[in-house]
Amino acid sequence: MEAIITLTQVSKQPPTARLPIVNNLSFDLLPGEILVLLGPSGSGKTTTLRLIAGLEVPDHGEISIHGIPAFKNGRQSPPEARRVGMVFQDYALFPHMTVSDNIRFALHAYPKPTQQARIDEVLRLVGLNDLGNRLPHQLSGGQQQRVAIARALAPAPPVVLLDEPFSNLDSAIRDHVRSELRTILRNANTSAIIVTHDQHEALAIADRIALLHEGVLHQIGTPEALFTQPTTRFAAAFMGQADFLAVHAVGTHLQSELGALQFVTAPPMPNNAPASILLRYDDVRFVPAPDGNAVICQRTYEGPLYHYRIQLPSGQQISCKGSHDSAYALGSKGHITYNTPHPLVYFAGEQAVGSVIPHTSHA
Amino acid sequence: MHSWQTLIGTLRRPPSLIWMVGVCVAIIALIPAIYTVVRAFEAIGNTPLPPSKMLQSLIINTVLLASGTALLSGIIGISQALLIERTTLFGRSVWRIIAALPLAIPPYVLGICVLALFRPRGIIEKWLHTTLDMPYDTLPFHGIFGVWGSAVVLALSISPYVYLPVAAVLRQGSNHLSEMAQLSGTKWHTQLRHVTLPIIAPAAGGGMLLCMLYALADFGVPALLRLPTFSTAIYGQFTGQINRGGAALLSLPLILVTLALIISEERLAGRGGVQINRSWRPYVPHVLGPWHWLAQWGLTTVSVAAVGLPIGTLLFWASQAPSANTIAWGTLIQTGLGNLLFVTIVATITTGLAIAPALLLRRGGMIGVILTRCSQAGYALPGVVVALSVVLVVNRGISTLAGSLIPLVLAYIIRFLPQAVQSLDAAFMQIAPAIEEAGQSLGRSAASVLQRIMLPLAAPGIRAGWALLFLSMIKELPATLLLRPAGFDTLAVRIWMPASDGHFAEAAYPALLLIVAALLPLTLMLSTHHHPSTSKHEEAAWKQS
Amino acid sequence: MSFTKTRWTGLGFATWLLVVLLTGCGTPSTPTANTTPTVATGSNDTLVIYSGRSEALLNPVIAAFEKAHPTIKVQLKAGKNNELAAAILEEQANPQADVFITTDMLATINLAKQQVLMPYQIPGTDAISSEYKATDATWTSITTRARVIMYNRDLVSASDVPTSMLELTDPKWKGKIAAANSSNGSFQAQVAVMKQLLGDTQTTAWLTGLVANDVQFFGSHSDVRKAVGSGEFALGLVNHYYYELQAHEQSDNNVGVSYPDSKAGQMGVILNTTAVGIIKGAPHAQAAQLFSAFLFLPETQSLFAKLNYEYPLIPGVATSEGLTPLDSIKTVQIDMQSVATNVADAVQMMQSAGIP
Repeated sequence: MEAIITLTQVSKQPPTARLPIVNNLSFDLLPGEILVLLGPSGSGKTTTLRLIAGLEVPDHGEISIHGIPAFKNGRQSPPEARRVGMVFQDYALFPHMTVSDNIRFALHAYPKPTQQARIDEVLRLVGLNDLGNRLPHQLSGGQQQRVAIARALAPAPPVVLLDEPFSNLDSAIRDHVRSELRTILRNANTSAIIVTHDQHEALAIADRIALLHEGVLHQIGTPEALFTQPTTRFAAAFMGQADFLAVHAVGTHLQSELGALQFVTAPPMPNNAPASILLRYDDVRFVPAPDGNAVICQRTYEGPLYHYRIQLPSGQQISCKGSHDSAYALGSKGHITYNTPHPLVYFAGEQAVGSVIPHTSHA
Repeated sequence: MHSWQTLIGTLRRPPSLIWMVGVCVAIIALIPAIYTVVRAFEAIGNTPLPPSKMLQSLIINTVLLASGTALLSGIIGISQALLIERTTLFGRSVWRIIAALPLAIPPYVLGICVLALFRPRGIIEKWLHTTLDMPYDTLPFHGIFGVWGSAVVLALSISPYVYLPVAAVLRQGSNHLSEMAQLSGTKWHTQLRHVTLPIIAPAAGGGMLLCMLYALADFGVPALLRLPTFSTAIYGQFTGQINRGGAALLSLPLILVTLALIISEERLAGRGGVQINRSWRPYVPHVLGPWHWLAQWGLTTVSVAAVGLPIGTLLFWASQAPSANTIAWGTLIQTGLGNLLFVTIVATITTGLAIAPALLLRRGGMIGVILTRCSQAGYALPGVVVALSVVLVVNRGISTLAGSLIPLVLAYIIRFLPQAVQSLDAAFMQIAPAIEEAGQSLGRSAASVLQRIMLPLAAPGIRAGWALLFLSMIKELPATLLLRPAGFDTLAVRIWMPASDGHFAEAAYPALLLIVAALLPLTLMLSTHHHPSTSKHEEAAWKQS
Repeated sequence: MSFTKTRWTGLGFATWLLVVLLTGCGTPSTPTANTTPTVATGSNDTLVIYSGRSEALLNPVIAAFEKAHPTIKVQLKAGKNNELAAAILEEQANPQADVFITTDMLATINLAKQQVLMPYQIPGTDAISSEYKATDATWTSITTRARVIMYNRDLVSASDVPTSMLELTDPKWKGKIAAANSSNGSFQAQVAVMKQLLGDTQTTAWLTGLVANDVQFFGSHSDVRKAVGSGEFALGLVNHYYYELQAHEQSDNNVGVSYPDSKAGQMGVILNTTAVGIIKGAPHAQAAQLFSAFLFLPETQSLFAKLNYEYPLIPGVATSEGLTPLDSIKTVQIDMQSVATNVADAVQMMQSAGIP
């Protein structure tokens, strides 16, 4: 498939900044795809979006949109020529124009008589059929966001860029709006790049996630891939609750204080080489036992389950989930056993090296 | 390539028309500064400077006057704004208008009135002497002259430059910090010092710097109150001899100081500005209680001194006019209307021209900023110097225009362009950058975004800026005196001519006319200041939620 | 509510513009209409006067002239001598003014040296003594005035009044004297004359003596006469007509005058004249000549004598009543052409002495 947007080794460092905000960034956006740029604040994700929109100019690299260079060899096509829709974080609706006029502003390429029909069409698409005559300040936050999306979609751009589209919404309606956005984009047959710092949001809406940190692309892939096969410790930690259990290589095994793990994919490491394995809290199970050497030191109730912090004999703490039916008291002792049908990722230093499976399953 | 883009601001680049206009405007605006520098360098060596002792006292006087005026204006303007916007003061809507009224009264008119009333053996001393039989030696009014007299008169006249922006911030600014401070139980004065003052600091600082620049350039008030400053010395150099080298030499430091002040103003205000917060809530005013009367008294005193006193004195003089036929009413009315037409047109042209530099300041990259900043170098140049440079350029370049109104129009534009740019910049700053970017990302050209989005949204600020420009222009005196073609008059000239010969009754009528003429633009400006469209929207949104 | 207010403002603004535009356009003589420079020669319906003397003093003369020549409309631009002289120099390529009237003979002489004045033998000026006219007829004096010391009779008795300029440095007058500042042409001329007569050393000593005596230097002589009239200052260094003007005021008029240095052995009373010249290339040269001649009609000269108490230069025109006759006292006899070369140095001396 031909990519809609291609970034090749794009860098940007403002004159006053000590480090590049975007550093040698390359990725593609495929037709119909929803790509989420995910990262903590300051990771360069919004800058990347603005570089694509043409609101900022890269220092190096190439950006092409619809196969046409938008930035190449220092030549930059202006934002208005890029056929890219943009939804701003605070929506940037024109306060002096009605909802219809806001959308009409984007429709200058449409012949006058057809504009109203298109306005009605996109308003229907976002479910605001009757609000065309309202002024932006007469709308709720969620409605304003949908107007912004309608405005961006109105000229039928092949791609829209959305900057933190959910950050101004109450958490109560956020989930709803998120799935609605996905439907709208699908119905409009539009690709999208969405910027967010919330990994739950990213997991829920993305076809692919690009994870950025300090201007560098750490990993790009499906949500499942990022969650289960992180390539760096940063990716592993950022995508969800994670513990890194210290291990060392012994022959074809990795030895941990919870038992041995067998290499699956990567070649064996030299003996005694230190490493760590990624444990999510559902990868292990706590089995209460008076003679156990693991101790519950913290307990958080999360509705469907309990989240325990458990201290291992070495002093390291790991997380473990427990059923909400039976709660273990703080200080309870027991054993920790692997509880996973899938391989676990292990890291040497920052980088993921391969995966392992528990040697003997206690299940 | 990268550096070039930072220089001219390739991203969201203003339309090339804006660049062209911006460059032209900057060149025009730079005329006085270039003229002064060239003349000054020509003069070095062959033009004697005032002796160093005199220079020293000029520097001291000028510095004291500028800082004193700024300080007093700050105290007056900030207290007015706090009392009017943040307390339960009675009659706040009336005070809002009264506090801005001094803008309608030229400082030199206030100076003339103050002088007539308070000078030694002036109206008040005479009255005290004759009715209360007090000996002159015991009367206390010798202090009206010099630095403090001049600073007080100037501050009373121009304190709205502080009051207006500070009040605007207090009305629009986020209230969360104050609420937090209230919740944490701090006393009102701690709150004032740690919360409110820091919030209004940029606006107040900007206003006070404007006052400082004004005091640097003003000739009338220090001349009336016998205070030699750089401006009066430049005027003296200029009227005392045909050679203009001395005036240019003395103007040079003024240009440098002005540049420094303008740059520090930018630092102070910060390019971010106060953008209206989403969660805007009306403020819960501070209850004054028994202090109420003190506050009323203070506000009244200031307004009586700044507004009541000059208007009262002018009315008194008007009533003293020997007979109606000495006042040529027809000519006067004609002068007034011609003046209004002229100022209306020139203020409109200047506002239009200022759009380009204001946009370049926002979007034009480094060169845009430098262009705009340079064009503000003439801010504190005395009107005489501006006028002279215009005369020179017109006569060297387009001498057929000499003696027409064009040089005067040019001088007005140059003198007040910095003010217009400042107003427009503030107006544009109220628009979130994302709004402008949204316009462009929707496939519209920069010109179309300017026309459909930026200008309509900035309209209230542009209107207010226009009105302020009108007020400044209708009061302009020194450049007008020099450049008016024979036969062209303004109300300010009609005030100054008889007043400088001591014929106050004759000066009173044009002065009163000028004040009346200034009231309409003033109301225009106040109405925008009080109902900024953005906060109107916020208010409505809040009521809905 | 706020919405309607904005509406009202908009409406008000529109009305304002409309009113201004309509009335402005309706007024027949809006400035824009008649200030476009008229092409030279022939057209003599306008006359542009630059004047260093104040409007109030010239307006009656202009009114009389317009009455005598109803087809000519006079446009007056009043200002300071040097300011207007500089404007004339700068407008050399495209002269705007027809006639220049100054209140300082020395400034006139110095301007004439720049070749911007047109020679014209004004009819009726033959009787004026040659020291008051340019040899090339580029300028002609209109009236003459004397430098005097005025005093407040409440504060100073007639017997104590200084009879010489040199007495003004006497410490007994410390803080009691008002004078004009160094930008004033009449004061400059006085110092230039003193420099010629007394030499640099004595003149400098006198100037520094004034500063040491805390003389208050004002921007204009009008301020000086008012300050003396009100009693704020005891003595004022002015031209004689300022004394007369103050003495004829409704109030604050208890003032007296001393014509200093007028005795034998003293340097004499310093005189200075007002003068007129026609601008070279004047757009309305014919009207300018008419006006120049008008200034020397006995009736006009008498207007200057009555309105401003000046000494007419045309023989037979009476001075104002009570004015000290100049022929009864000693006046400075000096070649003003050579004094004129002193002016720049004199200004420098004044400023070096600390006079603002």
